[in-house]
Amino acid sequence: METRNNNEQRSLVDQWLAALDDADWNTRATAIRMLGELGERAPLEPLLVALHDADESVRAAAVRALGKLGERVPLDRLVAALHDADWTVREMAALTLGELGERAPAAPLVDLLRTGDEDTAVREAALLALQHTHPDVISSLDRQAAILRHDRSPVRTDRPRQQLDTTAPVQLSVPVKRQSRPQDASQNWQEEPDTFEVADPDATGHASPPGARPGPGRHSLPRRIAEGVLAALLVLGIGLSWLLVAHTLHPTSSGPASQVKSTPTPPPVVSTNSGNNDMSLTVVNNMVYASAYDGAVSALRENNGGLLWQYRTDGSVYPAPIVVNGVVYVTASVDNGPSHVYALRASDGKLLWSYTRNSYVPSLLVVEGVAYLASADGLLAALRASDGSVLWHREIQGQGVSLVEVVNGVLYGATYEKNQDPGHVEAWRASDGSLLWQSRASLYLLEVIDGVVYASLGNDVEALQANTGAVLWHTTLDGSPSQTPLIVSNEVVYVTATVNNLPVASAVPAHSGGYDLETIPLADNRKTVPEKQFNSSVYALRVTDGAVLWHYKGQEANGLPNGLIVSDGTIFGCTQVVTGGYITTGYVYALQASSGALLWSYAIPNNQSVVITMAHGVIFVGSDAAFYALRASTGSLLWRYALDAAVDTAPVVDGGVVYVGANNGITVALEASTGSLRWRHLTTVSGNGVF
Amino acid sequence: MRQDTMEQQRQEWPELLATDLDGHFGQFVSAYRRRLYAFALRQTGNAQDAEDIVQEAFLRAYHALKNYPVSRIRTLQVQQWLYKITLNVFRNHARRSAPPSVSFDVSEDSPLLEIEDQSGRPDEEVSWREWRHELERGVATLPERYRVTVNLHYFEDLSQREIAELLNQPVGTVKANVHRGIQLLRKALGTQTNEMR
Repeated sequence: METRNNNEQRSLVDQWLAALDDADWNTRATAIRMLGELGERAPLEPLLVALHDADESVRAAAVRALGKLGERVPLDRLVAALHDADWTVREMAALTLGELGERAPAAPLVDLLRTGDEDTAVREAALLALQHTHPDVISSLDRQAAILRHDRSPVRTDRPRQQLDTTAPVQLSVPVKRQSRPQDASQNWQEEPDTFEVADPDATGHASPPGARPGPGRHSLPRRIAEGVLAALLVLGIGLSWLLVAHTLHPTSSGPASQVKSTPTPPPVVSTNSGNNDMSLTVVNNMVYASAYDGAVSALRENNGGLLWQYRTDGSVYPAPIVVNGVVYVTASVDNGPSHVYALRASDGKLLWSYTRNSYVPSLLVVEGVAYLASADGLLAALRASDGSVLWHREIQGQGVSLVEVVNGVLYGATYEKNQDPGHVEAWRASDGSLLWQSRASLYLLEVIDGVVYASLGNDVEALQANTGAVLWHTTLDGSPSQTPLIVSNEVVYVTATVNNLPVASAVPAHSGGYDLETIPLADNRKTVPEKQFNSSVYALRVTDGAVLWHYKGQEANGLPNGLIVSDGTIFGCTQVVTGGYITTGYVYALQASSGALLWSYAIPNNQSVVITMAHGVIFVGSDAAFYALRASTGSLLWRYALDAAVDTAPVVDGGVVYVGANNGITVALEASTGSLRWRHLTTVSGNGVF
Repeated sequence: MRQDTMEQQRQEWPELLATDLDGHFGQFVSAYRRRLYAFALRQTGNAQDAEDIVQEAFLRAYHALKNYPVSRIRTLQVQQWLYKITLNVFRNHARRSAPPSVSFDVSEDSPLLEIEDQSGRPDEEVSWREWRHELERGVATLPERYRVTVNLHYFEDLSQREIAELLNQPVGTVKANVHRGIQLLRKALGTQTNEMR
């Protein structure tokens, strides 16, 4: 009987071994797992081979099976698996080591925590493993962590359920409840000699970025591990990774390499932000003022990037700071509200005043000693720029307000409905907020230029007399003109027109007498978006009557337009070409302003963002992974600077230097003519322990 | 109330799966399949791809659970963990495939549209549904890094901290991506709104 059982088992093992060559990962993973069930009797070699399987679940299963081999456990291979490319394999390796008791080496697991594996699950597994195998090491780390705990509190996570608020401008409202920040919670840091603010917690005992606030935490680690130790250890991992993980910027090979003037490979840049922490820049009086999405406002010396001061706001700061008369004005918003307007002294970052509105504040203008602001819940207000006192305010019930410009004592803006439908273009007296005129039709306000208000509705561009609101002319385009700024140059209006090809739900009469959406059966009649989701073109209109002078529909401009510049008889534009839900290529192009003829175009493949600025005959282009300088006359590449982040905000050029804010919190200053690096600065107040 | 029940179930799954994985995995799949499908559908915009991704995600989840020590299963935050695995599968799938054309099922019972109804009156309900449809289409056009964050934050109800852990990003990055995603969404919806006038 025993022989028969043995034969059956051998037969099964043979089947499992044969299944390791199966094309289906599920079959291979199952086979590995079944082999693992043999425990110490499992064949070693096939499991070792499976560690190199192309599929992560197979590799993870192999790790687990190897851990069951008893005395034959190949510890070195399990330790090596801690560095697998896939988090599920690394996690399984840590968990498996945790099952081995004292035989498991502590150092690799501690290293995993200290160097901060990028994946939370892997760090958790390493912690669990250490607790199982080397609780003494946990105690040791605990002492260290206890010191850190005071400075780097766990991230607050309590929040109400996310809701889609139909009353908000974007109808995406997240009522994140935050405690109002007392004024002294701001942080003004002294100048530091180095452009990186990196503190070693091992050496100093406090790695916390100033401004990190304590808050209630919610974590996912086992209850039996003390909450404080867990939080602190996780923070330890994150904090140390913040110090130790360096990203090296490598020039990419994209673009016409033969034309590239290579820039030196920059030294490593330390950034905790692999993703998106957009920096918006303003350069004034030899200073670069940078606002970050994660809430920091920084003042950097233009010549070397040295940090003069940094102020921590209570929200996401956007757009770029306004700097007037030695005061930096920024707006920080928490989703759709509250929003805070801050006035900071430019010389030292001291908070002069702040103003809070429990709604989104999309507009802030500072003109002649007055700060004008408007909010999504109908506020229109004027504050004295020096002290923030309210000069006047209006509440427009049931509508949002946005501002565009103050010209000759008149404030131009527009109202909009809660569902984003346009309200009216309006002109208010800047001195007291009284209404001067209101457009008859519902319109979006585009620009106020040379005594003319340009507005739009649908595909129409409308020109209104700025002092009366009387309609001068209107022209119908083949798409919406609201995507890029409208520009007027030499008596010509240049504007892009965009058609969104996304399918629109059609409304049909319903039995209720109201309207219901036309239903589309699941499988058979799926609507498919055309390959090109956005179509756009460029128009030149005569400023006097709106007549179409020319209309460019070339492929370079046919996508999602993201910028338009007119200079020296040339139109420069940039477009993201959207295909099947994916933005695949960014185009920069130049058109002859007089005729709309294409002069040149430059393609940046595999690109999700593209922004342009022009100065000194050069078009500076921010993109997903590099920054480009193109000759405005020919479109040829002058130089390219590789970044490991995207540039989503407009670069700023000043005094032969171009300043670029990347979306990982890094600001770089490059020589405009060569692209060589002058300095870079990492905004270190990032998300960890802050929000 | 429904929320409470879901939360209670969420807390019970680790113990159930740790005690008897094979006995409870079927129910576990039933409990999360529709939600994961909606998530995957918003990511891919394609029903077949979404089905494939969810199927594979559950398979990988099963293998992982089979291999996890029981102590690990008991500590799992199952929902986030499932999203994490689904996202892994989605990204591997996206790497292997050419960018697909985006298709939409906007039928009334589509899981794509599973957002809590905020409306009260019938006319509000119609308006709400119309807007939901527009919003869903807009989300599917976002670049992936924004799409996944907006999808998880607004539709899957994950906190920014949870998303940060899931995506291995700083919370600030998540927050920024939510903002940027909404900006792009606003742009897309604004354009579309204009055209509908």
